[in-house]
Amino acid sequence: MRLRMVLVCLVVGCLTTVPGRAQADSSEEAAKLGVEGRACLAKADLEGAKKAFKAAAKADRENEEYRQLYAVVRRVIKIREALADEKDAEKWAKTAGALRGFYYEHEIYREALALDRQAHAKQKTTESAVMLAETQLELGMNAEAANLLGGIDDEAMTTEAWLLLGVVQARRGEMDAARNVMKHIPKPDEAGPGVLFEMARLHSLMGDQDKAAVALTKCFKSTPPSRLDAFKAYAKECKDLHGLIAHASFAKTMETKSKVKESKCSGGTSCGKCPSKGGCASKKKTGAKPADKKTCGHEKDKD
Amino acid sequence: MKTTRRVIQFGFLALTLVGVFVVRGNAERWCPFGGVEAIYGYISEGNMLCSLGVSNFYILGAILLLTLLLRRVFCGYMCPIGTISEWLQSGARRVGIRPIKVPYGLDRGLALLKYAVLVIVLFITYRASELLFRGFDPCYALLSRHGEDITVWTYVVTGAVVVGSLFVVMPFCRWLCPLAAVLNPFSRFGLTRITRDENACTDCGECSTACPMAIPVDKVKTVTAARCMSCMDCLDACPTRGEGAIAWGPPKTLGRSWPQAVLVVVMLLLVSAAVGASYAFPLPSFVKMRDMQPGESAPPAPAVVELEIENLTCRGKATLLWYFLDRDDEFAIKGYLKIEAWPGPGQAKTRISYDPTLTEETAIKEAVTEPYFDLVEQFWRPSPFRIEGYDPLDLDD
Ligand code: SF4
Ligand code: SF4
Repeated sequence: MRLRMVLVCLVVGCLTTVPGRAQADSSEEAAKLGVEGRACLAKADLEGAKKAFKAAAKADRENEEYRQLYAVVRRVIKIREALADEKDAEKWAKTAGALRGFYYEHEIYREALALDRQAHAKQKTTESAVMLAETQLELGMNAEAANLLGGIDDEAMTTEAWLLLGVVQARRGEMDAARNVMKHIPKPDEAGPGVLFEMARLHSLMGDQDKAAVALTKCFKSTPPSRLDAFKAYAKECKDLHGLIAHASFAKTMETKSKVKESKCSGGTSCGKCPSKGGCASKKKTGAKPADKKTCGHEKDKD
Repeated sequence: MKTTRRVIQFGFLALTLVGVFVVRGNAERWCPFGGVEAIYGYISEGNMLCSLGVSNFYILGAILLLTLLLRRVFCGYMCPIGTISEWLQSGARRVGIRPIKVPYGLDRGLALLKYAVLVIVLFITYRASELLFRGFDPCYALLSRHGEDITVWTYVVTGAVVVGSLFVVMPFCRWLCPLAAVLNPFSRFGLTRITRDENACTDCGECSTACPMAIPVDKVKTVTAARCMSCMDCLDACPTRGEGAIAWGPPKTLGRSWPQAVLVVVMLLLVSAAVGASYAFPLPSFVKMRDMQPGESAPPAPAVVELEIENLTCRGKATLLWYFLDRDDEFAIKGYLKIEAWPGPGQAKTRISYDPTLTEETAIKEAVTEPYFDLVEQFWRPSPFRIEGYDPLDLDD
């Protein structure tokens, strides 16, 4: 009798623990593959990332994150291939913009640099120069960026171009030149979050931490709540802001709340702060919000 | 009569609790006030507010009809807040707490508050297209199983209603409930009435004392007050009901009361019809059609594809699905496009109509599942949707 009980317990135990164990193993395996995929992305190895994310999605089929990463990388590889053969200039620019968006999202600046060079060679506009300079600044190629922006006629310069020029000059210690740039910059009240962030960078590099704090505070106020945390995280890491980060006003600046009204419904890949999350019975695991990965300092001003 | 009402109240409360805590369904979809909140968005934009469904309209329609026939029976027999509030009051009486008698003028003044609540709730809900007041709603506290957007205010309001109900009869229902404000105009013209035969009545005032809605029944010949919920407590309390002093039914039936069974049967029939209609005629809760460009016209016979889509849980997700369909990259769908969706947990039915001369079914499926680059937000949006029977990722190849 007792033996039978022991056997029954063993069988029941095996039946209940084996599938659980197997599931845990496959999740661990998927997580490992996910890390591998991200490492490939960091090295700009898109094919390797695609393979790893596909294997991760296969190992943990319930996990939306790997499926979505796989789907995006697969798609990006396709558009990258298509870009080489694209003859229509407008379509080329659009596809290149999407590709650049991906590179920036994953901080693959080397690839972005090659793409921006190609784009600037084709378009030769202030916008294409600004994009190239932006990437050069990300990669610390200050001399190249200074050259590029310095070569644009004053009449063709945009606010963004002036700001980047100021940043690169300040980085190179050309403070008088950078100060001169300030007269082309709009008042903080008239600027959007992207311009405000660049202004904070410039003021901070020039040693005016109070003005940098004002610009950054305004920048945070005009950033939508769903993007604010990512923006703040980026600001904390931004080397151009190190003067401000060490300043007493930085902690208070980081407490700034968004003044932008935003629907609580994220309408996106994750239910985020959706008010119905509790009621809609959406219990699926979802991927990280791509917006959270955004490097806000480099986004275009939408104003 | 009181027992019958208690049994029905218990039945509806039990049904609600089982639906919420055992079946773990979305009980909000059966709230008639949800229908009031959603109607503007549905008419103007063709979509429901988050987490609501067209079942809210069916149940609202049934309750309005019921109110036109039998007055505010919803409050007296069906609403969980009304039931809990009344039961708390009975419990309080049993332990010796006497209800506070609110002076008539003050009661009437406070009763106007519910209209202000209704106007504010609807104005803000219609403007925001979101159920922003759920965080203050005692009913939502019960239905949502402490949903994620519950705030401390939900429990402050709920606590106030609970404590208030111990000392005053149905305070929320009499003074604050916005649904009561919606029902009142219908109830005012309700078919059935409480009538009093002044010859048989002894003016004892028991009916007025018993009335939970503080209606001075002993002072009128016919109860026209919109707040009457046909609870029949006045009939129960009347010592000369047998002699025909008080009756319930259409006004002509003076002295000859209709049996309460009529009320029960009509109520159950209408509610069952509304529930049945929600399943038999499930109108889509999200409808959107692409604006036609100059020179474009809708095809004479659009093709229709019906898809079962996973993760299409709410209005926000349905809007996102529309963005995927209305994209402008290489998966763009040309020409006429219309979506009708039934967002909900699990697989959600979606009907997509398109111009078969310009696009085909596979293109629709690709548009739904392929990631796209969001130009405004400047990032890649992977599709959160999966279509039953279609896996574009071919994980097993
Ligand atoms: S007044 Fe409102 S809360 Fe009270 S019973 Fe009627 S519907 Fe329910
Ligand atoms: S008048 Fe009679 S039926 Fe109407 S609410 Fe009062 S007690 Fe109930």
